[in-house]
Amino acid sequence: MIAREEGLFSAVWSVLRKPVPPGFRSYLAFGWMIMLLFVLQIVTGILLSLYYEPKPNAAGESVQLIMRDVSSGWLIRGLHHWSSTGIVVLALLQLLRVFVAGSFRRSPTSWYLGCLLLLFVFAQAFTGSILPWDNQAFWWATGAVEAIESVPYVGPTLVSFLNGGPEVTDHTLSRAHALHVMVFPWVGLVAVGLNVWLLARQWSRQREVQQ
Amino acid sequence: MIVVLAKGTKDAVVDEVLTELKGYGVGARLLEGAEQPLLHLFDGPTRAARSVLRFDCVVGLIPTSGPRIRRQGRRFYPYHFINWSTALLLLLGILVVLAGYLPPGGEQEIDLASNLAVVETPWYLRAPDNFFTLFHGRPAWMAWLSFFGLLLVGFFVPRIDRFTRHWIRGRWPLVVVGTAFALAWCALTLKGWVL
Repeated sequence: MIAREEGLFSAVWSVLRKPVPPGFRSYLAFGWMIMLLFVLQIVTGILLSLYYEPKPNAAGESVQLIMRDVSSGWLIRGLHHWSSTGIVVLALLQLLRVFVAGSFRRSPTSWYLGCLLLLFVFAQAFTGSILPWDNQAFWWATGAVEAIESVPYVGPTLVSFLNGGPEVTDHTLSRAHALHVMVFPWVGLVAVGLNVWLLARQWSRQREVQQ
Repeated sequence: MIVVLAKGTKDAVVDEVLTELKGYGVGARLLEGAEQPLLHLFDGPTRAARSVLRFDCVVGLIPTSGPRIRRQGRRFYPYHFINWSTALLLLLGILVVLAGYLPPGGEQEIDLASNLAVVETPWYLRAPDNFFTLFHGRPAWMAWLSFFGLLLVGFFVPRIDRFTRHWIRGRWPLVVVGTAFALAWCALTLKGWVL
């Protein structure tokens, strides 16, 4: 009514001007925050990758370089670290909220996607925590390898896939880096996109029913 | 309530409408920046603003509260957009403070003489980690079977709910199970750390 424009702007404007049904408010509030943190992760991740070297002898040094010598490096790394923590917390709270509110009854597919997304968020956070390749990261990787190895039947195969051998080696770091940078973000992006699409479809259906 | 005035409405006419609204005890202010003049009614009996529809310059009224708004919800833009963007700015501020005061580690060189018991598990994995310690002294497959069992139950909640909904009615079972899960998760996370 106020702005009549043609094309893409008009489409975006009409979506932005639609009323948000009361039942969707908290869904969108959590989704909005997770999306922002996800974008922050991507931006800070790209900036960190300009200096980070995923090699066992150089990883620690490159992290120290980022923290001490790179301009605002401490802020970029700190934001990357704390936003990943934020995503884990928000994703857990969102899934709990969806469960307690019974929202999964409206769209079970969203629940399945949310569960998968939570697993990927955990995996993303863990592979990221290994990348500094310091004492803590090394022993975290060792602990994870030992835990995965004890999975009946598939454990040793999984370990050799993640490690390139039975023990934590240089390959563990490069594979964790590959998963963290090239696999999990895309999986996360697809899952988030699908979730948003499902939510939008559900939203428009509810509006049709109301009208 | 927002009063939408026609494009190019003269200031004198806008003042006339404002005076009319003031007469009804309605607090209103002119919103700048839009393509056409808009009046935001923020105080008093805003329903009385319907009377200004008799002015030729008044194009329409957009309600921002009332039963229809409660039923259909408020528009994403500007209400939710502004609220959530403010929340996001706050969140960003908290992240910057955390980054400054609690920077991530990563400066200790690898010490092969160290061991797993000395290094703390990441906080988000403490709950699953402590879940496994509950099975200490038992075969590993038991722990993994229970773990995967719980994961599958969690994943197939909608399916389980479809079967159980006939004999467990209402939302209270979800609240009970959700609270129990949250408490168990917190207890397992804090076990050996704070508890």
